[in-house]
Amino acid sequence: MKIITCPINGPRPMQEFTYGGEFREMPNPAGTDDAQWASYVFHRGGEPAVKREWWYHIASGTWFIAERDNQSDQFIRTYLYAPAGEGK
Amino acid sequence: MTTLTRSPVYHHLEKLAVTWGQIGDCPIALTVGPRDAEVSTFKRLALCDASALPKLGLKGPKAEAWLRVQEIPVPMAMFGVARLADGGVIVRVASNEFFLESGPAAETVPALAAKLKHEPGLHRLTRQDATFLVSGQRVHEALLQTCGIDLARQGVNAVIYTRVAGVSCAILPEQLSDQQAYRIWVDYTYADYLWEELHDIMHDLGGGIVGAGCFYLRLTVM
Amino acid sequence: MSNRLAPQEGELINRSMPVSFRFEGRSYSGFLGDSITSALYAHDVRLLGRSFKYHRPRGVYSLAHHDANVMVEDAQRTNMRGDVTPIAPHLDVRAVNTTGGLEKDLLRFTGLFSKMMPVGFYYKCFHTPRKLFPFYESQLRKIAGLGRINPAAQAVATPKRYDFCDALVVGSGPAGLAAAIEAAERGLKVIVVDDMPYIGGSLRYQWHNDPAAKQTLDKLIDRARALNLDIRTSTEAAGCYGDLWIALIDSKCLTKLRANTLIVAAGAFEQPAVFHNNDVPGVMLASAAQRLMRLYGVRPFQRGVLLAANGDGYRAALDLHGAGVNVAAIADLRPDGEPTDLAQRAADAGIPIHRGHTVYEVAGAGGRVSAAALCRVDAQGHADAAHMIRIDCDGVAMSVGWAPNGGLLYQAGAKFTYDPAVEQFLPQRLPPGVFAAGRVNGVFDLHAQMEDGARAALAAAAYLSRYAGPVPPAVKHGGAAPSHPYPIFHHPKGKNFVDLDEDIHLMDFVNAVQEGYDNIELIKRYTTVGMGPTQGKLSNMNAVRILAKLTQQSIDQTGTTTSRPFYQPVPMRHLAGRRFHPHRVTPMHQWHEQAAAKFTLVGVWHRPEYYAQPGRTREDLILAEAKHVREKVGLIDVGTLGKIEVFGRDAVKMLERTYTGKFENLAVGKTRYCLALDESGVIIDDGVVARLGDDRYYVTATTSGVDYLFREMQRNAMLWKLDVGLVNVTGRYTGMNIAGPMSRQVLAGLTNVDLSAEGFPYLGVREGEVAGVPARLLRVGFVGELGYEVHVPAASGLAVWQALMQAGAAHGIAPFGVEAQRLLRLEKGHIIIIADTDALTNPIEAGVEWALGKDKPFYIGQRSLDIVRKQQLTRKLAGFAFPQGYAGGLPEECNLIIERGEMTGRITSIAKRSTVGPALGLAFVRPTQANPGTPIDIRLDSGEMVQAKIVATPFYDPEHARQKQ
Repeated sequence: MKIITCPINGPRPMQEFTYGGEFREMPNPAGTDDAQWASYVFHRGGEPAVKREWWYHIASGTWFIAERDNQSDQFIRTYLYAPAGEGK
Repeated sequence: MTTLTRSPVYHHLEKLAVTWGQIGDCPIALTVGPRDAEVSTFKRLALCDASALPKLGLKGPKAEAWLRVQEIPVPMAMFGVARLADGGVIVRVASNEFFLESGPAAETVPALAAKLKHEPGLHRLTRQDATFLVSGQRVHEALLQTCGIDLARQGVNAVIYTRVAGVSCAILPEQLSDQQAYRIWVDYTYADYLWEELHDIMHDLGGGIVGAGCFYLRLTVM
Repeated sequence: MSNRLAPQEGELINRSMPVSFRFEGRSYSGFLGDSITSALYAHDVRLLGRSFKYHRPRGVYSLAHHDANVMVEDAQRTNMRGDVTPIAPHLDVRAVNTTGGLEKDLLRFTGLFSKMMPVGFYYKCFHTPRKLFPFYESQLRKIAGLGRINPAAQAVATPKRYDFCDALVVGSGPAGLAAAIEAAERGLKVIVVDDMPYIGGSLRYQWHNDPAAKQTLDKLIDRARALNLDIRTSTEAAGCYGDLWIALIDSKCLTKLRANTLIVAAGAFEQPAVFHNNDVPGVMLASAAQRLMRLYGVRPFQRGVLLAANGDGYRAALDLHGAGVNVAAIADLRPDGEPTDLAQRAADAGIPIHRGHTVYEVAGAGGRVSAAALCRVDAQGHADAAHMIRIDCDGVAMSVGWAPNGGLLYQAGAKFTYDPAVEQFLPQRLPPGVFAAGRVNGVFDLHAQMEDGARAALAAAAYLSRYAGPVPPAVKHGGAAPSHPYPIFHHPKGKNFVDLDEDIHLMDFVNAVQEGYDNIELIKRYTTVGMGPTQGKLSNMNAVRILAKLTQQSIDQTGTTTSRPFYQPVPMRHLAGRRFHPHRVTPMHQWHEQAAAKFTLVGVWHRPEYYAQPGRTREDLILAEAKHVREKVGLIDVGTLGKIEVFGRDAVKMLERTYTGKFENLAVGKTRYCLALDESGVIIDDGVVARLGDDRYYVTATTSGVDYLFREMQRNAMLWKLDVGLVNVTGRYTGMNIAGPMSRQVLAGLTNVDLSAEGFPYLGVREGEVAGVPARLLRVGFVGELGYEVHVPAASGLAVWQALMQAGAAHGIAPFGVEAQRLLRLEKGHIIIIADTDALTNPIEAGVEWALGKDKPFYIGQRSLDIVRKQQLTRKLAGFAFPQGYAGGLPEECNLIIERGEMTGRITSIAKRSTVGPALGLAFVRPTQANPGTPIDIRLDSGEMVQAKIVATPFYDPEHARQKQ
């Protein structure tokens, strides 16, 4: 069982967490054509890379971002979400 | 006296030889079974229901300031804990949210609850958590059979949010009656399940159920 | 006859504590500390088991259950390993896989036909005609197999636990103990496990003919004791999973150990040589002979031959000699023999040494070695069968090499490469936090092993930042290789076994490669080498050597098979352990139990399905409960509903963006239906938004959907940068719905809230008291009658429920369950998310387009719905009903709707009886079928076709007059 380090609760077994999908910026719905919007909704990049992912610590209700290498399945780092321009 | 509120595990205690007391309008088991047996269970491995302790939550940008005005000690660290005047605890459960539980004197929380009204930036939250206390020489073995983290190595004066027997709980390690004890807060509707699991495991390890009087000597029979 | 030697220093048995037990129906005695195998062998019982396929006699081979020769069963348990199962007074066991007992096994002649059964034989012969396969299978299973499971065996409650440490040391031999001591002295919390029942590993029985070895072990154990080291014997590290999560198995339970570092000092498995009849009882690994002597004080044989390819063989020969065994010969595979002074010491002991020789075959009638034939080995490694030296003997011990016990290292992600200096695979790249020491690391000298252990511990401490000093470089092996590169010899009669578990001989590999299975993973599956109960502990290495030779590749090119958990078979009860199945109950649960409720699981909740009454059927009771609500008044526990508090300056923005409807114009004291979609426009949840104050909302959600919905709201509040407070109060508030024409009268006596139609109209929300408890009251219409949802703090739920039941008694109040509620809402045409919708249902199909707010700047799913609207609608949710008085078969949920032989839809909800009369329900149909009056053909489970008609919904009170009263 893997360990994920929650930025608030520290290292915990994976069963304490829920995966929240890849981190993606939503495009402006008004300025996006149908094909682009459908691509945003349905397409996910599965190529080997360091992915930014949402994870949720269930017991404390904490959302955070994890950078994970999906090839080696290593968590590189985790941090709380901060809107763009407000630092990490 | 009427008892309008009930612990979620009242029906388990009801079947035992319990001396009942009351906190507010909620019954609490003070002693369970003969004294000698209870003391030895308490030393070995004990499970206790203290859900009757009054609780309160408040949340919002003005929550901390309001608490200071009421002269409540406010823990600064996330999940940090401070002691209330009546022996209870206050926990910072989020940057702008607090959880309070009175001690057995049940003074601080009812007094605050009477004063606290909804206003912009300050929201009163109902808290209905069950409170279980576990302690005794074999408590760590019991916790190792239910928890995926090493509670024996966690810091003091902070609440740990984790899973116990598959259920999300908040756990506060503390010294009670000169024993290492763990206070487990769990959602009211999961409490019945968790009580049964803890009881089964602790029973296998030679433990059992004790009254809150083991932990809180000040409690008296109603 | 007894094979017991004089007491040995450090033996495991307690000779003052005799223990008797039964094996194959006969009584035997041994001593406390004996295993089944050692106790039987002490009585010269050499036939201890039968092989898997040919039922060949088998006996002591490794004495460490690295082989599966000795497997026994009793009434409760099967496939117990005799090598490590202690004898006990009431133990009564028999060998597995025999027909008519071990000695007279009726299948013992199967081996005579082995020539006719090469590998792949089963695959090739028993597939046609297909209808005979079940017969073939049952016959083959009788012949080839292991223990029988007793289906009547009692379940044993088994705990399961976690544990934690800084360093797990696997193996308590010299390397492991040295590592554990060093790590503990650096302040690490250390756990040592050893799968054997004693501390010391090989040092306990391989003394290297060095009297100081015993003192070395004693010193190590004394230091470990002084440090109060946590050493767990008879405990195996059975598997290594992500982030050093290690499964420890002992006799009691599975421990899920989280280790911060892992030090594997698990040693090496001694490997057998492959020659004709190398499985006859009496042929054994030299280490097994040493175990017999040192651990149990048992003489392995009277007169024996030692097949050696390393110094360990000479030491074993000297050990045997010292124990009074007549060592008739050492056959040394190496042309130049042993380079150290061990050769001279063996010669001094009078042991004849045959350099460049192998044991070519063993003669053994009746399951007992009677002679060994030695042959010269030529420069190509072939045995020269023309010149045989026959030596009468009753035992052969083999010391030809070692294979690392590296399973945990492989599982942790280590890479191994073959090192010709030791003729062994060695870990080359270890993952972070994982260390290896001792024989598994290619270190065979006793003092070097201890040095290597200490080095690994320092590296672990440094990894944990608990040690800042220098870590010495890894210890290298010096001298001759401890393993022979190819101790494998062809024989025209075969029976030169490579895998004893599966009865695979050398020729099977030749055949497999000829048939094209020339890759290690393929050959494993074709021959089944390494797939038996020991998972190839004694066969994988030889299989790799054979395949490399057959394919003319290097050992590294040939590679190894994947090493998977578990190290040894694990009892199912350990894996099952205590299982946690969390579930939730409402505060009124005890009341329901006393009222004879039948419960159903909804998500993780136990909910009353209906309330049982003697002599009445479930269907009758459900309909009666529903009718009671229509006619009088009922009370249902809706405590399981999701409940969320939303407050703060941006609360309404949060709701506007989360839900499809408009909430800006929702007045304080009012509620509104809310529908949530995902980004693709699919319905995920619904409920009611109640506005309690200017910036305070109380929102209900579906029982099973609220956790997901709440998480999404939390995340979106961050992404949208909203000043909003969100609290999931599902468990803090409980709820009950009092519904029916009399509900107002019942509630009126208990509350300070004005219940008049004007004071508290339909879709209103009020805060007040009910039965002295602070409550939130919502006027809802889910079941289509006048009704109030009463939400109160959980701890007061039971008191309020009881007060309502008491106050309602005069009006005939009755509880109703979730099935009656499903019927009542179905009559109103209300959908239930996930029952009437699926993972692709959009609001247009579901007929809830009315819940989509117009002119909204944004809500989740809105943009996708724009696209959906442009596409042709493929299905539509519609009501259907059977005619009044219809008496034919009725569909179940998910039965298909067929139009001209084509599936056009399915039933999503069905009420076979309803308060309005006919059977009715909801179904997905083609949009062209959705107009009222259209007949639809439904195929029942039986295949029968029945016809219903599409009907406009609601089926009941289409004006909604009753709930608005």
